[in-house]
Amino acid sequence: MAELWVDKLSFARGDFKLRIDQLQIRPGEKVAILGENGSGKSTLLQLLCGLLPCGGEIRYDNRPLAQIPVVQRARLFSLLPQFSELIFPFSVAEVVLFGRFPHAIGNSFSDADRQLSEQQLQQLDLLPLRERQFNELSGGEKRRVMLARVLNQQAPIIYLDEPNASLDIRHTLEIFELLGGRRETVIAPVHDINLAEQFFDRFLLLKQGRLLADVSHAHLTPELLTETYDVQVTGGTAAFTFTRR
Amino acid sequence: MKKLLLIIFLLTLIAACLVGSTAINPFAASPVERDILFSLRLPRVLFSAVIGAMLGLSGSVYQLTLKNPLADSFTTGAASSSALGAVLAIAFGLPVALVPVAALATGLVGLLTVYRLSKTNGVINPVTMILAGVVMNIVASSVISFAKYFFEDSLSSIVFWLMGGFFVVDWGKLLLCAAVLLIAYLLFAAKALQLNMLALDEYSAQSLGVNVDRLRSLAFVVATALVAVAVSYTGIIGFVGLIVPHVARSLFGSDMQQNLSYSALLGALLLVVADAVSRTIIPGGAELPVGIITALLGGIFFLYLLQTRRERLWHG
Amino acid sequence: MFRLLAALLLLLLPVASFAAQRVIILAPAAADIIEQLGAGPLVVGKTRNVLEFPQATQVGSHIRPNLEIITSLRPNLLIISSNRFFSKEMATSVAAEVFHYQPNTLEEILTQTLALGEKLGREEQARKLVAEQRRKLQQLQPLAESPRVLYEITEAPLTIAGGGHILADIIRRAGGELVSGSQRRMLRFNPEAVLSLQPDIYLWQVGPMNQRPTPAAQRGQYRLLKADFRQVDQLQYSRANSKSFDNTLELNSYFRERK
Repeated sequence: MAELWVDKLSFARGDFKLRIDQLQIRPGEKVAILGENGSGKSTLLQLLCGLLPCGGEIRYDNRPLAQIPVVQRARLFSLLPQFSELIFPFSVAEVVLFGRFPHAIGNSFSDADRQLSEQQLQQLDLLPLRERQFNELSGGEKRRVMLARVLNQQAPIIYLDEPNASLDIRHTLEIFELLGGRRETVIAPVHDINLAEQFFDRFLLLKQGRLLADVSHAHLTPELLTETYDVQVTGGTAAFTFTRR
Repeated sequence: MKKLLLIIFLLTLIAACLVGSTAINPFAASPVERDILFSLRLPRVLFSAVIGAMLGLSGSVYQLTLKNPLADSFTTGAASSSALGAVLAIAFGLPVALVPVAALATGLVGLLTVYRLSKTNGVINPVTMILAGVVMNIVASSVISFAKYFFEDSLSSIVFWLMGGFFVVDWGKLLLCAAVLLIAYLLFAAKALQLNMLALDEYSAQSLGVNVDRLRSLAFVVATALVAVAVSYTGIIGFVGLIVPHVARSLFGSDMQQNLSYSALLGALLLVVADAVSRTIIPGGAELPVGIITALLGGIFFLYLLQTRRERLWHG
Repeated sequence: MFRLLAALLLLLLPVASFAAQRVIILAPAAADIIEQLGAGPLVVGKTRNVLEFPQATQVGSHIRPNLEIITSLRPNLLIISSNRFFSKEMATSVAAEVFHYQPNTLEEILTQTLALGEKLGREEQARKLVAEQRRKLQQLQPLAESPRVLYEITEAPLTIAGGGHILADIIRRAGGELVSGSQRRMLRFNPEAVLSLQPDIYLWQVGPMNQRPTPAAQRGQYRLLKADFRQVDQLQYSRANSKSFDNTLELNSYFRERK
C-alpha cells in the first residue's frame, strides 16, 4: 500500500504551466482526472511518475520521489502511457511478461513470474492472442495487452492514461469493473465523464494546468463540469445505458 | 536451432581455413603451407569472425537503443569518424602500425561529439542522436574526400582501405579484438532483459524500472567503441551491422537474450564467408575488398527480407 | 619577295610538322625524357609533381589538371598519359595537339622518345638518347637462373605491381620474372598468396605512395619467406622514362651478384 503526497508541484514547458499546491491520495482510492485537451492530465501523470523535471515535492509513503531509485519506483507505481508501440516484433505473451521486469531476479524471469503472466492474460481475455505478434494486433487489442502488462507489474499505485482509449464498450466495462474491484490505487485521466462517474470515486478537475476542484462523487455537479469543459452540461438520463451481462 | 547454427558456423570456419589463394590439404601440408595455415589464414579467419560478431552485436544494440531499424555504424557516424583517422594517418604517411591507433582516436572523438550533441537537458534523444550521427558522417566524409583529393599519391591506399578488408592479421591483434568483443558481449548480455524494455516506449520502459537514459548512454558508448575498434583494423565493412540483427530477429525473435548472441554469431558467419569469397574469387592471389562482398550479399538478402517478411522486421 | 615566299611556304606545310613551341606536361613520367632531349625551355606548364623546369607554370595535378590555366598558357602541345584524367572533350577545348605518353615496355619508351623528339623538333637528340639507351641494354648480361620477383607498391593495404606495370618489362629485361598473375598495372594482394608464390626477391618501394612502410624483412607475416628483400625508390622505379634503363642495368647486376 502506498500513499501519495504532492506539495507545491510546479512545471513549465513553453507557455504551458502546471501548478498543484496540495494533493493527497490514500491507498486504494480510484481517482479520475477530468479536463479538456491540453489541460495537463497526461503531464500530471508523467510528473507523478518522475518522468519530467519539476518544482515542489512528490512523496510516496513519506519518501521524496527524487530519492527513490528508478528500480524501486517500479515497485511503487506502474504506468500505462497514452500511446505504446514496440519497435520490433514481440509476442503478446512476451509483452505481458515485461510487466514482471521489476521483480525479475538477475537477468531472467522466474516460473512464478510466468505463472502470474498467464493469469493476467486470462483475466484480460487475451489467451487467444497469446502467441500473436503485438504489432499485428488491432488498436483495442494492443491496449488490453499493455494494460495486462501494467497490471502484471503489481504495483500498489496504477497510473492509466485514458485506459479505455480505442476499447470497445464491452472491454471498457470489463476493465473498469476489474479495476474497481482491485485494492490498488488507480489514477487515470478519463475522457468519458459518464463512465468516470460510474466507476471512480474521486475526481480531479484540471483546467489550464490548475486544479480547479478535487471532489467526491456527490460534488461532481453539472456546474463544475460546465466550468471545466466550457460546454453546457445538464444532468439526466442518457439515450443508452450499458452494463455488463 | 542454436546447436545447428553453431555446427554450421564451425564447419564454415574450417572450410574458410582450407580455401584461399592456395588450397591446403591439412593432412599433407608442406612447412610453408603449415605456416600459411597457422600464422596467416587461421588468425585471419578467426579475426573475420570476431569483427563480424562485433559489427553484428553493435548493430543489434544500436537499432534497439536508438529505436531505429536503420541505425548502424554509418547512421551513428561511428564508422566514418573512425575511418577519418585512418585516412589521415595514411595520407600523412604515418607508420602502418599507427593507422589503427589514429582510427580509434578519431572514432572516440566522433563518439563523444555525437553523444554530446544528442543530449538535450541531460537526456539522450535518439532522433537527435541519429541526426548528429548523420551530420558527423557528412563532416568526416568531406574531410576524407579532401584527403583523397589533396594527397593524390595516397589515393589508391585510401580508397582500398576504405573498401574494407583484413589486411595483415596476427595473433596479437586477434586477441585484443576478441577481448574487446568478449567484454562488450558480457556487458550487453548482463543487461539483455533491460534492453528488451527499450523496445517499449520511453515512459513505459522508465516506469518498469529501467534507467533509460543511463542504459541508452552505456549501450551507445559500448556499441560505438566496438565499431571504432573494428573499423580501425579493417576499414569500413558495411551492411553487417545493419542486416544481421534484422535477420537474427526474423529467424529467432526480438528477445535480446537471444538476439545478442544470434546477431554476433550470424555477423561472424557472414563475415567469415565474405572474407573467404574475397580471398578466393580472383585467381592468382589478388583480393577483392571484403566491404564490396558484404554490401552485395547483405543488400540482396535484405531486399528479399523486405519483399517477403517486412511486417515481421519492424514496426514503423 | 623572299620573305613573302617563305611565309607562303610555311602556311602550306601541314601544321603537325611544325615543332611545338609551347608545351604542357600532364604526364609526369615524360618530364625526364623532355629534359634529356634539351626541350626544357619549351615547357610552359607542368603538373605539380614534376620537379624539373622551374620556369614552367603549375597547372594542377595530373589527376585534376586545371583547364583554365592550361588554356591561358596557349600551348600547342599537351603531353598526357591517357584520357582518364584529361578527357577528349578537355583536349578539344584547349585546341592544342595531344601527345599520349604511356609506354608499357622499354621498347615503347624508345619509340615514344623518338616520336617526342619529332614533335619537339629535337630529332637529333632523340636519336642520340635512344642509341645511348640501347647501348645500356646491350650491357645486360644473361642470368643462369631467372629469379621470381614481387614488387610491392603499398604495404597497407598490400598492393603489388601486375603485368601491365613498366616494372614487369624492366624485371624481364633484367633477367627476372615478375610474379603477380594479373595483367593489371596494380592489384590488391593477399599476404598469404605472397608466401605461397615464394618469390626469390621482394622489392618494396618507398616514396609518396608508400610513405613509411615497415621494412619488409621485419614484418611478422614474412618470417618464413625465403626471399631477398630490397628497398627501392618509388620515384626512381615506377616511372617509365630514361631512368628505366639504368634501373634495368642495376637490377641485372643485383640479380647476378645475389647469392
